[in-house]
Amino acid sequence: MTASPLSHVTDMHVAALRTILAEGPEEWIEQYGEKIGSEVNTGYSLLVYYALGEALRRKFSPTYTTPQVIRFVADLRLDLEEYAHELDPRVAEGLIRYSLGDEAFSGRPPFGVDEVTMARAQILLLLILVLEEDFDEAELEKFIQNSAALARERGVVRQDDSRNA
Amino acid sequence: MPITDHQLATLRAQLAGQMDEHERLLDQLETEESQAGYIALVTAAFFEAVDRKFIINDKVADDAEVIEFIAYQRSAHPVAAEQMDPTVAEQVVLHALDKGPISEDIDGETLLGTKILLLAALMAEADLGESELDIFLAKARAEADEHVG
Repeated sequence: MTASPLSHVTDMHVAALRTILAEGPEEWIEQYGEKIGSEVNTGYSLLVYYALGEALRRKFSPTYTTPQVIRFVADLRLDLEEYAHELDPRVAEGLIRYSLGDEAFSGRPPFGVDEVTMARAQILLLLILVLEEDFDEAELEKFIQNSAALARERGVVRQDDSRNA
Repeated sequence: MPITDHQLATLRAQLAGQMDEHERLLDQLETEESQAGYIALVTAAFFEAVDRKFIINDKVADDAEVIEFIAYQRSAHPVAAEQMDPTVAEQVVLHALDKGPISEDIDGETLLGTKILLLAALMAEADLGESELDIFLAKARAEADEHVG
């Protein structure tokens, strides 16, 4: 599937992803918050979706179990301490299992939640996974470029079945 | 109407792991009134079990202990992992501890189902003997009687 005109990844989106992963959410908000928030093009969300998929495959390859996913999400939320409620565990587990193509899992994004809850879960998961990877600059750039290439190649995320997209 | 011996025996069978007996007794709760009474008893038992687990020496557990308990139960029991929505389960326990609201989006059936699963998990962990189980159920019954009057 090719990218829709309303959902294509631009160089600005790639730069924004680099900023949030290398410099953190506050810097991202300052530089890109308004710009991306007011865009009609949803390319940035697409890029984040594929970056998260890449990070999840790195983390959970070659195999994983559902208890591992449950444990991972719980540990992440325990690390968030008083902000644990910022990450909805059902959405986080769902995102992970859906992205990894878990055939036993029947949930589909957006898992009955609003866009903000989904976006927050995606970004939090992505940030923590990238932090765990402890990439050097070149590795991070490769990760970003791979994610961008995938997002551009595979295009829009359909809610019915993005895995075949 | 106060909680009946039949309703008590139904819950006791479940908590003692006698599932055939539990199903048989549950099927006999035919009237709306008897079902409502049973739900009140289950709910009271759930609150009792939550207090027992999460309030130690008048100190209420922090949220992390609740997150940990639910994650542990779900990762240890694959069926519970699918049936128990962690978001709902955490809200239900925290609400029972007076630590937060339950979202209005959650329907009554999901709430009751979650309480039943959590009650089973809490009781399995508590591993009460026969007499302890009877004391636990007597407390739940007294609590439920206050509500259904």
